[in-house]
Amino acid sequence: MKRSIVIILHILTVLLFTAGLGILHGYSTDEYGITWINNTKFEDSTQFSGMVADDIHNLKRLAVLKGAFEDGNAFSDENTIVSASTSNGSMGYTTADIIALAGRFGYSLDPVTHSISASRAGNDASNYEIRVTFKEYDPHYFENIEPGPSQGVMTVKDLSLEVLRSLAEYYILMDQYGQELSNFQYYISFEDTSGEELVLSNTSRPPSELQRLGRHITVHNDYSIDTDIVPQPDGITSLDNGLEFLDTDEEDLMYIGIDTAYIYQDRYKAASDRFAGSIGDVRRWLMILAVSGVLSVITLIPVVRGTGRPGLDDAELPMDRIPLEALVLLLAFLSIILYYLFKLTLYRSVEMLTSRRDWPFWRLLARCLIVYTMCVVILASVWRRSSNGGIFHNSLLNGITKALTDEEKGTAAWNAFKGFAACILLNLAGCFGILWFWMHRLEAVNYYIAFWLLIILLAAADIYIYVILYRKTGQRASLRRAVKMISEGETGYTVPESDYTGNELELAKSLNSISDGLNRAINEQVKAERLKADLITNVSHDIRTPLTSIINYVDLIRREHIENEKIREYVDVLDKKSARLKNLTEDLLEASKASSGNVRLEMARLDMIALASQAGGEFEDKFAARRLELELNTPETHAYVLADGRHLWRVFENLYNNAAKYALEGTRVYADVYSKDDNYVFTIKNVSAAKLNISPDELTERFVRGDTSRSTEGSGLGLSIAKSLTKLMGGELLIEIDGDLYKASVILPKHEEPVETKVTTGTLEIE
Amino acid sequence: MQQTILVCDDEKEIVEAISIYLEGEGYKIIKAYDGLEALDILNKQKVDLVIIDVMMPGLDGIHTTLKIREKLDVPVIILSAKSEDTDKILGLNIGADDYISKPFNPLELVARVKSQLRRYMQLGNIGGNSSQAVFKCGGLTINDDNKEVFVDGEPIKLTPIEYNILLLLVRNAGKVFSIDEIYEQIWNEEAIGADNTVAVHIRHIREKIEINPREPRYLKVVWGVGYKIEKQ
Repeated sequence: MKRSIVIILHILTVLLFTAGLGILHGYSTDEYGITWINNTKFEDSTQFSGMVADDIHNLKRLAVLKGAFEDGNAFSDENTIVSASTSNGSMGYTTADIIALAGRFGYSLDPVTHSISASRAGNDASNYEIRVTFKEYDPHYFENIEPGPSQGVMTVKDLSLEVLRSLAEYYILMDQYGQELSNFQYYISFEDTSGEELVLSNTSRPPSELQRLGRHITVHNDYSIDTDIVPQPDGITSLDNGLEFLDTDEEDLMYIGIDTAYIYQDRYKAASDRFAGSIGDVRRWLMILAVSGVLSVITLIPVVRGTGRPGLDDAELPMDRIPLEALVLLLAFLSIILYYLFKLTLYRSVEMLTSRRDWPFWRLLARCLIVYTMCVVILASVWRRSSNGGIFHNSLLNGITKALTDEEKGTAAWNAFKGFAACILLNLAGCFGILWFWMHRLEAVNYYIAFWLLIILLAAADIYIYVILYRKTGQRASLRRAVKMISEGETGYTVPESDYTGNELELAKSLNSISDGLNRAINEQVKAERLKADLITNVSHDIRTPLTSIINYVDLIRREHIENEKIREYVDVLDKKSARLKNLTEDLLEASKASSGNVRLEMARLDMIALASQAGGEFEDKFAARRLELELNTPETHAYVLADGRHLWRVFENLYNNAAKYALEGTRVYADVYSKDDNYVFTIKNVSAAKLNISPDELTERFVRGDTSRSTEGSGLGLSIAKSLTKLMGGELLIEIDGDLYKASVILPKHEEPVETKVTTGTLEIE
Repeated sequence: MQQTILVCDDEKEIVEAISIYLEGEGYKIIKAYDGLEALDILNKQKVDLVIIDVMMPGLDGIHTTLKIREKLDVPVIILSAKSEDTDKILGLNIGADDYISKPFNPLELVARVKSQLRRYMQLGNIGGNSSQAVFKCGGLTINDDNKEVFVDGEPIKLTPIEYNILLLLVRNAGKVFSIDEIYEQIWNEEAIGADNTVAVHIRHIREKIEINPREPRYLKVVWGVGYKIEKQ
């Protein structure tokens, strides 16, 4: 599998995992997270008990308000709901009084919408303070405020507004809990502060039946609770608070039942439906989370260490060459930049798509994703490093350790550091001193003098340091030049040692001795080569003199008209072999000359086609003698190249000679001159008479010929010399063998313009 | 008249072999085995040609030749084991008339000796003939009136095409003719492509007029360009 596919897969699964986390976070509740899905029934969920708790809380409030504003289970504004002590003594206000009072301040309660509206302000003068000692709608009000002279003091305007609000609350709660068509059914019987028996209920069923509904709560008059709601809503366990109003005459005082068949379309029904739906959603997302989590872990391995294709996934990337620490820092920096980019661009999207409660979660998730990506990148790099010379192979730590432990480098590094530190310290101290003396220059003349003196000293020291550095740089540059000269072949190059100091002097001395040794070695080698060549030359000259006699006397014997057939045969052998010996000495001389000395090149523009036809003319009789037919094919009229005519002739002569000597008798020899790219190519092809069981390379090597037995004439040096000569003239001689088909090609660059003959020298390299 | 040839080489066998060849041609041979001996003989009697080896004990061939040239204009052929161009140039420059490298072909030696003797003996004889139709180039003479060609006085037989080519080259001695030019001039036809006809004819001419066709004195090949007659 391709690595890129794995990487894409990994990214997708990680994103899916992240999305799953986010969505589940949306489903979670603050207190229990998503553990609520353990309860398969809505009635067992905290959501349900929370709703019940809310309802109970509201009912408690409604009971108080009912006691305050009703008389005989019906609204009455005759009830005294506030008692206050004034300077005139204690007095009570009825609901009607308060509404009237509120009217004076411009407040009124809309009977339909239950909202309070304020018209233009009433008579301010009528607003006076009273000390409220009791509020029917807030029975424990007075006990809960601190005693003192200002205990319960408030303006009548505030009081009227407060009462109006409570009245509005009463209406709203009555609307909410007064209807009978609700899955939430209750029955509360209690006494109000005036001792009146009140019943608060939205059902016509007898209270005992409420206990038979799906879920129920019964609060007994000793405030003990009997319920089957688990978990118990907060509000229920603290039911005793504020239930003093409950009557103690009857055995059961508060009955609440919830019809879990949810026959009415109310908020319980809606919540139950939503719950059923979201349980499925949450389960699905949990599955997705698990699968994508597992998949991302599985794909993480090949993402980090590749898919195991050696040399491909392990191959070093440019970032693997950055020291490990630097890479980590770099990626950390990159994460920060990415995070800020994210903040600039995607924060708004998060705020748009999710609820405020989830914002911090999504932001955290984004940060985690960025950090995770960087970690994976680093891990992958670490893995590649581990298979490319170790994890810490390319790290600052390793570099520093190496530099310090390496004796040579360590010392050099330490020396460089010492120099550098000394220079910095000197400058810091100097600057500090200058500053100090400048600040204190007014205190004493000496300080002022010291200030200037220090400036001059520091400047002098820095100039001195610069001069040293400058000189060393110059010395190093000249050493570099010297090394370059020597490496380019000026072996005798030396540097004047007096120009150098310190380490550079040492270097210069070594360099001079290297140059010296090299020069001597090369001179010796040249001398040896020359000696060798001279030896060969002399030996072949010395061989020639006796050889002359042999050849001449063999010839003389042949002229003697010998009758004896056998002796004639023997003399023929002598004749042939002495001729061969003559050729051998000539070739040997040639090779030794070629390999030791310089070859003079007279480069001029020549026509390879002309040369080919000249060669054809020269060899016409030799070809004819072996019944070989020479076919010269030239598509072009001219094939101008730059070459030395005599040397190129030697090459051609050799190739034609080979064809004449080794081609199968009675066959055709093909010579072609054609243009190929920037070159002209001459080829000669023939079918070999002998088996060519040899490689083309061997053919051109010294002393090797087509037939390894060396039975025929020639020294075999020819091809190798021809090859070197062609190379020297900037061309190439190629030998190809295909079965018994022998093909030699001379390739030379085209050179169309006529030129003056240019004389150069070159050295032949004979393989 | 029997001509006298001085042969000088420190290898007795070589002197002997040369003597046999040249005596077979009817020459009188005087033998010497070093340079001093040769000079001594030359002082005492008339010699028509000297064949001298380069590497000899005592006075070597080069110095002997120099000494000979101080007094005599007798033809000198240097015989040497050294075959390098530089050796030949040196030998010819110090006054030798020809240079033969060892080991030599006896026939070539004889031919060169004859050639040198002919030129030496007939020197000035042909020069008097001032016909317009006679072209000369060293030992090569062409009489266009009766279509005769002589090399060192010896008549040579050439075919009409060979004769025309040689004439073209000799009349423009020193100029290099390309194969196409020669073809167009001689055959009066436009040259078509590469063909070794001209080259074959040239080789034939060379074989006829040169003593050693591989080292031509007159008809030189300019490889990859054409042919020319060396101006002499």
